[in-house]
Amino acid sequence: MRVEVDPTRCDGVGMCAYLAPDAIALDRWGFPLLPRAPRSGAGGAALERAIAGCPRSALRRVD
Amino acid sequence: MIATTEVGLRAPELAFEALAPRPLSTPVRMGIQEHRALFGPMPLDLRPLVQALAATGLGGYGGAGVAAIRKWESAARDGAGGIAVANAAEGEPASAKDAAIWQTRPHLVLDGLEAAAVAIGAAESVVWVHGGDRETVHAIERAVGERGPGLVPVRVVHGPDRYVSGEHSAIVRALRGGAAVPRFRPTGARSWVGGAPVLVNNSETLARVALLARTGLAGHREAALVTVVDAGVRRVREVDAGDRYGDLRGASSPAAALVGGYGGRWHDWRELAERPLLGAQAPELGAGVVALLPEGVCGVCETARIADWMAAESARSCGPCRFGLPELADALDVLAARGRAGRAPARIGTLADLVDGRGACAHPDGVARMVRSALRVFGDDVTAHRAGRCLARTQASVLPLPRHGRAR
Repeated sequence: MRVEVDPTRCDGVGMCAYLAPDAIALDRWGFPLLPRAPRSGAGGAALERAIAGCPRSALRRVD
Repeated sequence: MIATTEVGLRAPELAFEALAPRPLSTPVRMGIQEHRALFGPMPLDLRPLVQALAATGLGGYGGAGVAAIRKWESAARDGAGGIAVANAAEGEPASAKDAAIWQTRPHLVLDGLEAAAVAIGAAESVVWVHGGDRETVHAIERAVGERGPGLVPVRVVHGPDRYVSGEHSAIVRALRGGAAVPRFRPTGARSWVGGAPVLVNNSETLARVALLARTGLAGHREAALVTVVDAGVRRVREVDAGDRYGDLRGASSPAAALVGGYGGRWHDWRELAERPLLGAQAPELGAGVVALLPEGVCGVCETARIADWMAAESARSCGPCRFGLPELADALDVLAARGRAGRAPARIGTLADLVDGRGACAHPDGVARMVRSALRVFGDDVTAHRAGRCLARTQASVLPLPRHGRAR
C-alpha cells in the first residue's frame, strides 16, 4: 500500500514517523517524508497504524 | 515578423504590443457592437466546437497545461448545476496578458465562458478577478453590463491579491464561502472535491475557444499571448508557431530569460534565442511570461529577490512551503550577499529538493524549479559569489515585484 498526506492538514506532530519508523521519516521541520514505493506486510501494517494514529487525520491510503 | 503597434494599457510601465493581423492583437477595446460586427455570433451548436477542442488540445494558457476539453468533459461527467469560471486573477507579477485581453477583447472571453457554461450545464458563470486590478475589473464589469442577459447568468467575483489565490482549488474553495487558499487534492479526486462541478478556465483559453468556435478546425492556427518584460516595460504580444525567442528582443541585449513566470525556468539567452516560442520543440511557456535579464545584471541577485517574494507569497497552509521557502530564500540571500557563501549552493539544492512536490498547490514546485535553473544558468555568477565577488556591472533590480497583497 501507499499513503499520501494532506499537507494543509498536517501540523508536523510526528506521530506517523513514531508509528512507522521504517517507512516514514521527518524532514528538518518535522513534516513527514513518505515512501514512494508501495509497502506490504509489516511495512503496510505500520502505515495503517500511522494513518489511524495521525491526530490531524492528514494521512490517507492511496492504493 | 513582429509588428509594432503599441498603445499604453497601464501606462507607463505596460504596453500592449501586437502582431498585426492576428485576432487578439489589435490593441483597441472592442465593445459589444464592434465585437459582433467583426467576429459574428457564437455558433449555437457546440458539437463542432467540442470536436475541434478535442482535435487541437487547445488550452492551458494559465500555465498548468491542461487541455480545455479534458476539464470540460470531467466537469460534464459530474452533472449539471455547477459553476463555469473565467480565471482573470493574474497572480504572476510580471504577467499582463489577462489584463490585456480583458481590456481589449472582453467579449471573446465572455463568449468562451458562455460556451463552457452551456457545455457543462452550469447554473451560473463567474469571472474571478483580483480586486486590486482596478482597470481590469472595470473592463470586465463594463463588458458584462453591455452584453445584457445571456444563456447563463454571469457574476464578477473579487478575490484577494495574492500569488496563489488564482490557483484552481483556491477559487473553488472561495466560491463555496471559504478562504481563497489552495486545497489539497487527493489522488484520483476531481479538483472540486465533492459538490457541484466548478470548471475553471484561463481567460485567454476562453477567448481562443470563442475564436475556434468561429474558425472551426480548418481555420485554426496555434497562437499565444506572451508578456515580455524588457528594460522595465511589460509588453503583451501575440506569437505563433513561426516566432522565435530572438524575435521578442527589443533594443536590449539579454544575457538570460526567465520563461513561464516566476515559478518558471531560467534559460541562457544564447541557447534560447533560436528556439521556437510554440510547439513541441519550445520550452514550457507556462503563464506566458518571458522576462529578459539584461547583460550586466546579476542573475543570482535577481533570483534571490524573486525567491524572497515567492516565499512571502506562500499561503502558509503547508509546512514544507511555509518553513522551507523562507529558508530557501535565506540561503539565496547568503549567496547573493557573498558572505560565507561557500556552502550556499549545496544548501540551496537540498532545500529545493525538500520543498518540491510537498504542497497542496504547485507554488513550492515552481520556486524549486526556478531556483535550480538559476544555479545551472548562472554558474559563473555562482562561482564568483562563492569567491566573494559579483560580476554585475549594475546593481539595478530589473524584474518587477509588487508589494505583497497590494494592487499592481
